[in-house]
Amino acid sequence: MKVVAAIDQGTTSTRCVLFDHAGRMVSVAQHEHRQHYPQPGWVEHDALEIWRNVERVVPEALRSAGLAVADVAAIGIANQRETAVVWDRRTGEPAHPAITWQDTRTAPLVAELNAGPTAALFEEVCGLSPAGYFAAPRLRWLLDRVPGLQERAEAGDVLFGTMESWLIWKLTGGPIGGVHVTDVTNASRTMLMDIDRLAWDDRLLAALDIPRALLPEIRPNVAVYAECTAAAPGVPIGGAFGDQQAALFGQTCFAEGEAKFTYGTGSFLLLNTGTQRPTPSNGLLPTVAYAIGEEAPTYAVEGSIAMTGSLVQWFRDSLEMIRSAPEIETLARSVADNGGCYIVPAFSGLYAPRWQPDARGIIVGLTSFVTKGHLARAVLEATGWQTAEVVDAMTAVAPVPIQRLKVDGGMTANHLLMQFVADVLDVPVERPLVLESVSLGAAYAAGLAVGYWPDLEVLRNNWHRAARWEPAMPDDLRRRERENWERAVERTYDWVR
Amino acid sequence: MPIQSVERAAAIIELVDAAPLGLTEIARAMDLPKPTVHGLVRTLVDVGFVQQDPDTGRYSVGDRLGRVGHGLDRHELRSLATNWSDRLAARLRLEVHLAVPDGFDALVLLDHVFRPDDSPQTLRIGEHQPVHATALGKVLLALAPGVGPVRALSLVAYTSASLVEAAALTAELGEVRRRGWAVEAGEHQPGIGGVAAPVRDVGGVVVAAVGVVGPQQQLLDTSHAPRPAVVQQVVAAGRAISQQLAHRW
Ligand SMILES: Nc1ncnc2c1ncn2[C@@H]1O[C@H](COP(=O)(O)OP(=O)(O)OP(=O)(O)O)[C@@H](O)[C@H]1O
Ligand SMILES: [Mg+2]
Repeated sequence: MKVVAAIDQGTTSTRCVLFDHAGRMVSVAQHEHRQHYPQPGWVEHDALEIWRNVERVVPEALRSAGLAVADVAAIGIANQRETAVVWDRRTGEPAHPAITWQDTRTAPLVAELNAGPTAALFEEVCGLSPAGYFAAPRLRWLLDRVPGLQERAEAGDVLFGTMESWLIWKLTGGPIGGVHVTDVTNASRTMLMDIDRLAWDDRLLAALDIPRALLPEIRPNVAVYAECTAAAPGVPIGGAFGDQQAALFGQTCFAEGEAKFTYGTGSFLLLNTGTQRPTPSNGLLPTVAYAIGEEAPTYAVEGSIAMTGSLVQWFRDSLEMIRSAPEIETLARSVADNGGCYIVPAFSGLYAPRWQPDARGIIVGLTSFVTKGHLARAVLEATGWQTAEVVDAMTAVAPVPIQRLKVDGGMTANHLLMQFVADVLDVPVERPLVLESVSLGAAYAAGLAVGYWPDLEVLRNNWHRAARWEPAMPDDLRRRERENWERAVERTYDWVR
Repeated sequence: MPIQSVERAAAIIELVDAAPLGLTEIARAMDLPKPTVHGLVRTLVDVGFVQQDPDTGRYSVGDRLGRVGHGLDRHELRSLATNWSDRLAARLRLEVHLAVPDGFDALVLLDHVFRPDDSPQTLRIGEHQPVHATALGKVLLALAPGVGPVRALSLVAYTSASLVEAAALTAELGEVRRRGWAVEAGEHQPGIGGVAAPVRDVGGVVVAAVGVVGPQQQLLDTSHAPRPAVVQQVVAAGRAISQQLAHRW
């Protein structure tokens, strides 16, 4: 049996998932990596540890399916976006730990950029107004702070990439012939790519004084980049995707107006806007959805929420209220409602649609009545209300109102949460038969590139509904709770000075 | 009569819980020869109740001990099972249920994956079922601790096919134990068949059952024997979920 392999290099773990022709999961292997918090607001990953996990998960997934490398038709990669790494092109040594997308250290740099003359240029060319969320400020920070790095960059001795670039380079030989590429979706999150031409823009590079030699070549999502020499030797890499765009592709949202919501460490709504470049509005980000070979790209608007699953993880690891993330449902079900308690997880500011970098998290409504069960509810409800805010912003720009929400990701196994999302949106919520939409999207890209699947229509027929939650909350309750949530959010603003 | 090695094992756990200790120190504290202590400690390490620091060589309390007294959380079970429940539904194109015991005579549906044909369906999570009338129930009744015994159940006839004789039910449960899977043939709802297999936690205890349900003629032949492919996939799903549970630490 021939399969397609996907590597999903996520914020918390790296997995390899194998899929068959019907788009069904055959097997999966997964390893977590460590999170490093050297200072408040800093979050780093060890790029070599992640690479070693990739080397492990691919053979493990094959072994558990009873398959060999020769059975893999192609390999696709999806990754946590905006996480920046710079490495030595001769030794393969990272110059510094990878700075992740949750990291807020570039805030001062970005404030300076926004006050300067080039802010408008960024918005015009790459579609994004400068924010610490994107990769380029992290690269600038590295070039400033790692001794000698700017010189090494100018001499062409080091390479920059987001996670997919790093992994593809390692997979294809590293110092010996490794290809240095990125894909249009990851590149669209750097702040350096012209979103119309899908090419690095010299004016933006100049604004940040970034040497061009450092940057990977930008490729379509669906295209054979090279053959692996490690992990799965001989297997072609047929595509790469930022994880959220991969999920959009995996959920087969190929038509304008189709959208998906992925619930992981953070949560992300992407709406396919067709071949027209979207204009930024309502706190939503224009982004590239996908590019197939030499075809014109498809665009999307995105509503990004920084903290959803990671709030559950904080509840588990820092407060030690639960031993595993799913246990939060057990705790939340031990009480009937939130007991008047609201948690706003603005740990690294608020993302879409509010974009308040100076907000910080709060818990409000505490009384002696509140137990950890109520806190567990408030944690889950925070994800629900943040979803509602993003969906509202999206509804304002969508060509047709959202009739149902397609969801995926690890948190969708939480039925209390999914019911709450349906309740606060007042639309049905549906999950597909493959929850690993990120992996599926990466596999679809790679499989299309090598002809394992013929076209998008075939992929669309692979999508099946696995569950559906119907809204059941009375209108007046929804209104009241929404008001409380909004009052809670207002109290987080301007905390950082 | 107390068994000496169990007493000694308990003492070792308490010692290393107080402070990480090397083998010599444990032997001295217990006033036992080092080889005796070594054998006990090795066994405790093997079962995960004690662990050894690879750098210092000292022993401390193992991860597994921290889990004693905390049963498997049912929502964690659902999360860990999801990929495999989904895979089962995808392969057999049938509705999948995951169930845990709810008291000695019933089960509750912890997860429900729709039949992947995109027809309108309603989530059945939280639904209770009697253990004697469904395949899931028979798996739990035959294998899960705390479910049954048969003589304590009220064997309600839901359909004309329901097993209402204790002797017949007991005989069938023997079959379930022997084969490692259970079947239902219109015993809960007329015309609906089902096949289910056990899900085991680390250590082998059956904690849940996973199975498929659907039109009887799709799952079973005319003599009510399930199609081999159905049995094989259901049993494989039970094993895959059990393995996933073992890997959760
Ligand atoms: N049943 C659950 N209830 C609530 N939260 C959950 C549940 N299961 C998982 N999570 C949360 O979801 C996240 C894991 O989901 P998933 O595996 O899809 O994310 P991820 O892919 O690891 O994210 P990333 O790609 O960013 O690493 C974790 O943050 C975890 O806390
Ligand atoms: Mg992910």
